[in-house]
Amino acid sequence: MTEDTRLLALLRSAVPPVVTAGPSRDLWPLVVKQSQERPEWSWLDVGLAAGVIIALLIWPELLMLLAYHF
Amino acid sequence: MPDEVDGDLLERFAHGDQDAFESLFRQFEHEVYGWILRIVRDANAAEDALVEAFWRAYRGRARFDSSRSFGAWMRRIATNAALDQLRVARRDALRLGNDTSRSAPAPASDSLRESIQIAFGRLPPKLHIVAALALIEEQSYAEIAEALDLPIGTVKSRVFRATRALREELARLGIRV
Repeated sequence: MTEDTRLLALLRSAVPPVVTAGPSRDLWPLVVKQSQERPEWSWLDVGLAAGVIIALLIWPELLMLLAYHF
Repeated sequence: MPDEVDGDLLERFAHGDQDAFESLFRQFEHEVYGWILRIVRDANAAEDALVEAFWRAYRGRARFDSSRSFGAWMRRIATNAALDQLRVARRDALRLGNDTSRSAPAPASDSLRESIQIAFGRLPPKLHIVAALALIEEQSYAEIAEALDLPIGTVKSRVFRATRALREELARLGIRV
């Protein structure tokens, strides 16, 4: 038995593969709740968008750089 | 993951139809949950990551290309949600001062199994994820690469690093493998 094989065998015996039976409860209501409570746009998204707009107002030539990446 | 998904359903999902979203959730929740559980190895954490993953999918629905596999796209999102869950667990453990990566007692009297579990728990999340999927769950490199959105070569390299890190950690715990 090589060192790697021995390590793998030990690892699998100490941390065996999981047996899945599915979630313990219906999680759909939580997904719905989360999508209603959490805004799709975070403050970071808003801040970044505002930053881009301000930068474009100050340096309009950056528009060409942005256009290149789209 | 089952991926015989009706194109119309995917189109409706991409346009924000809640019924289409629920239908996709019902179709994929078990597979996504199983995939996440293989990574985080904790049922509660897996359920949290599942909810987070589907919320992220819904938030990013406009970026989904309905001509491509929903299952593969969902698995990638789920993998990222699971990775975030691993990072949070690690940070919480650090904050609470029971981080096994720093403060575990010398395992002279512990069982070999416990030492291996400790060493596995000490792997950084990026190595932990490939070790869990490749070494324990025996998922293919191609599957892992797709889920992590990485080249197969990078996955192989991380598996190699994970194995080396495990061996080093075990050596620190006084166990030569």
